[in-house]
Amino acid sequence: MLVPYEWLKEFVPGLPPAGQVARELTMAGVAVEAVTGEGEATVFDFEITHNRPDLLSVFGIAREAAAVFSLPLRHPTLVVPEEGRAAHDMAALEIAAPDLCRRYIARIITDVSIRPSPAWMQARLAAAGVRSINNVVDVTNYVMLELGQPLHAFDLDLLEGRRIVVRRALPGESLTTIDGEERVLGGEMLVIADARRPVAVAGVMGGLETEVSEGTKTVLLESANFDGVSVWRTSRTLRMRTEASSRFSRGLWPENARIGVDRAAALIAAVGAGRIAAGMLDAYPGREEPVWVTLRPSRVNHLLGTAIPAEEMKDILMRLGFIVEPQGHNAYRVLVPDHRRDVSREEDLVEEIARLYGYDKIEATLPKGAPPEAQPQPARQLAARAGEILRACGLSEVETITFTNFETCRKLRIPEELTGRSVRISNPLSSDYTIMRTTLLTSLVDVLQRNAARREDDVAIYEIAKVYLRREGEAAAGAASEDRLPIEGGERRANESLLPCEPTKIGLAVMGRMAESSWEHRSADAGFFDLKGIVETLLESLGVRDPKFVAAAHPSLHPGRAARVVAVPARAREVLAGQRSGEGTAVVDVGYLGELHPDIQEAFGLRKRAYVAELDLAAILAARERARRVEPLARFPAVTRDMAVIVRRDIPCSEVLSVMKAAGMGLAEDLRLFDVYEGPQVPEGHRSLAFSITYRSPDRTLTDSEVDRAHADIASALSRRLGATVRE
Amino acid sequence: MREEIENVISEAATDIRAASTLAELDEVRVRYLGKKGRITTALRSLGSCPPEERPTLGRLLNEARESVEAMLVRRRDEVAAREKAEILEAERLDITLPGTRPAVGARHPIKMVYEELEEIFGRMGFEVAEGPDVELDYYNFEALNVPKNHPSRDIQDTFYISEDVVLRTHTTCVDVRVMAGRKPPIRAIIPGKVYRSDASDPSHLPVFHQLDGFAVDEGITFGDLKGTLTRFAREFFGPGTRVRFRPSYFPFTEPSAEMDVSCVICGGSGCRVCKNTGWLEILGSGLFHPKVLEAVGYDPEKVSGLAFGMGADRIAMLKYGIDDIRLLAENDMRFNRQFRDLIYASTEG
Repeated sequence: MLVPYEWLKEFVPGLPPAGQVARELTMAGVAVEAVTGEGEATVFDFEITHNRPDLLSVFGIAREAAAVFSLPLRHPTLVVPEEGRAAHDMAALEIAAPDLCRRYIARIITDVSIRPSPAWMQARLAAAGVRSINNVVDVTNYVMLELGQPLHAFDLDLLEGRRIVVRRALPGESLTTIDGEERVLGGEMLVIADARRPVAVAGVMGGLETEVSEGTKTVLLESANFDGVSVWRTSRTLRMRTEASSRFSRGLWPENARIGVDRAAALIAAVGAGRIAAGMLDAYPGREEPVWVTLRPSRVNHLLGTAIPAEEMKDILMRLGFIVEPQGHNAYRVLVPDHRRDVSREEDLVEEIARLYGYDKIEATLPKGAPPEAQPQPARQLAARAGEILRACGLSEVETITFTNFETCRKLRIPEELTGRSVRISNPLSSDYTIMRTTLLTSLVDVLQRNAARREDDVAIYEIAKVYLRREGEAAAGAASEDRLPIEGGERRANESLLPCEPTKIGLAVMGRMAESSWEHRSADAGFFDLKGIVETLLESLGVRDPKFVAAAHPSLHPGRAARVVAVPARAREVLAGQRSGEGTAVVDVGYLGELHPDIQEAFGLRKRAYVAELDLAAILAARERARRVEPLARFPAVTRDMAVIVRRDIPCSEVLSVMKAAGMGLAEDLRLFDVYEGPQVPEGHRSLAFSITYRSPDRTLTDSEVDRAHADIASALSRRLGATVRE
Repeated sequence: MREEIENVISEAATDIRAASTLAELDEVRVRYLGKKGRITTALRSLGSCPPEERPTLGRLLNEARESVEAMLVRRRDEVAAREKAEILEAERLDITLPGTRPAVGARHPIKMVYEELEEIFGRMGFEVAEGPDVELDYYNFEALNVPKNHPSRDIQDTFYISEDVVLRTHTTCVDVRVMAGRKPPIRAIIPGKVYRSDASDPSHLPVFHQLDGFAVDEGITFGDLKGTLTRFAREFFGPGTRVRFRPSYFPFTEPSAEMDVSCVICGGSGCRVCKNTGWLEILGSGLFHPKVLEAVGYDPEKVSGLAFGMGADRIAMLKYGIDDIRLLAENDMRFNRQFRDLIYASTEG
């Protein structure tokens, strides 16, 4: 809000220089956002907080400045030279919606002569950023700027029946406003009507047909108080934000309507725009009770941590226009001035005292007493640890926007079981961001695409973040029906089932090279097993023992290069091993891993193959070991033998390994795959898997013949169970 | 004979000196002390000498052998040392060639900021709490003294999911959730994503990050709010940081204050970043409005609470000199990779 310094000085002549005014008002909570011009020509741009509609005017700022600087305040001239016929005889007024209109005042101006307003008025309007129209309209704008009271001038001769009715709009009514737009009215909108039709949207904008024009002879000047919430709703519905509507929305006080109309009448007479009829029409159904607040100075000091004397508090409040009376021995009874409708309880007075006393004078201290005990947070710890491991593995953290859209989901082939549970935004900003993501895949591929578009083809990233899934089943059904039923506040508020699930996922994506080539080593593009190795390292580091990788299709992934990651929780393992009885043998689905489908890779413009994984943090938390007992160190020597297993290509390595492990009779301590070969020496449809097997017994040194026997047992089991041939 | 022996010793000495490698030295050893070596052969032929000369000759020959052996050992040590030195010299590297670095991932700057804030506030006894992004209107607004269908909702442009569900516009709603479930004293900070329907531009994103914090207890004062936040500012932005508190307005605090810090770019003398004011707006704060305390079942006459909220994106931008907030959401690897270290600038003053 622009306020010229010289206009302020009209009301507070003793005001200090502009720079000091800007600084000290800012420190008192009346923030000067910008200053233009210098000296007497300075114009301040104030940012007024939402709770202070009384500051939305030059006089409002002046009143505050007078309190801040302890200076006398001059009030604007309100002497109205009334003459001629009585206003009552020329027009009629009715408030049919007293709940939305606390007060409506109309003054009548006769013998109007529409001309340009005087230069001084035009100059001030211009300094405040308002265009000059004509003398009558300029006066209404001038008074709005000066006193914060919106006014409207009707051409009284054009008002049907010379009558003002303040009422709700009727269904089907419309009005062309002074900006030339036709507005469809209705619902709960408050309008100003004449005997026949709406002539203004109350508190928002007047109608074109009844506006003041060159030929206007008689004016009905409106100064009213409309309900803030009603004006706010109407201006939102009509998408019309005007100077008037934003002032009414924040809440004006009815007394200001009287001051505004008198000031405007005085100015109209002064600039020779017309003659003021005697008296006014004043309907005032919403007169307010005075607001008294009890103030305990001890409470003020207790909350602020200060020792401000009670007398000083009283002085501050009186400077601000409060009336302060003693109440008992240790308290005051404080009457709130009309324009300070934001003050209604003791804490509000505490702020008034604090800000005029000076926030900078309050001593900085630290809270006393020992800090309370903190709650354990295993999920946060796990996520932090996961991040460390992944960065050590060469992946960089990303932080992405949690929105996406159905088109992206379709392109990424996100399964319906997820997209069907999308949380939809009812008022999205753009078609790119219409739903909350149901998987990190949309975000990760977006990052790959963005980088690929910038010729950055080597990307290794992770994100540990939430996805959002609408609740299904009973909870969702309950929530849905509740949406339609008018349920009273309390129950509805606490209804957590309206909210989606927000599971935390660990998302990984690798495209191109993970390390840069050096002069000594060439690095290659990462492949499936690079990402699988990272997932294995991650899960091991988080305490998930022996995760299983199961070939499983995923619509977003290469059909032959996709896996589900499954963990067997410690409890289930104990049950399966017979160490514990009872239920709980269920394996935990941790997530998936694989190569992005080549079609998707192409659709997103990725030049290199990309590998992605998404793991569920809660599943990892459930599957991880909670206790660690060390294995005793081996006391007897080990023997290492190699074995090449030629086996059909479609037999998975995991199956070969489990046959070997079972046949090794506890002597095969470690089975390590060191080569996979397909080629001339291996029959068609087969491959050779070369293992290095470490044999060891915990209680003796193995003899050659024991090792030979174990090795032979493994070989024969492989041939019997899998039809493999074995070469040593 | 005696003369001959001395000649052999001196010839051996010459040969040993001449040998420059371990292999040559070995040849010399064989020539004198090997099975067919001159000294060995002479010793073996003692039998053919006159018996009276044998003891003397034998002694002389043994002395000759010992002396040659000693010379060989000395020379071998010399040659070995030199050969090793040569090998080491040959293995000399240009240690200024670049090292082979294992790939290590970078941290996201927002997370670095959060980590540092958690550390600073953690030392003041604040624990970390979290809550849902998709939030009930009740927690986001109503419990924070922002009624439904009220003009004060204009302050924040909100994404709605339904009439009762919004994308949280601040993490302050988690203050309410934490307080509603526990009794004072509590000190907590709440990091998290927040949402406002602002179009993207260099200083706005529809999804950004906040850190809220609060402490409730008997006797929490406005002075405690100032002290807690001043300490945060000095630890985060450096010990020379000046702060100022200005009155402001938030529906859920009374009194309310905005905290400015002396500009981290110009130190307060005025620059483009601080719009020549010397000050940067960092956070909003205040004492909890009694209606908020009442909403969570506390008695405002007994307990009070300090509360604050700041934009993590904004302070990351100030701290790392980032001039466009969108860089924090784009994840351009050329940007993200710059955050490989974990050095906190502030701890260096």
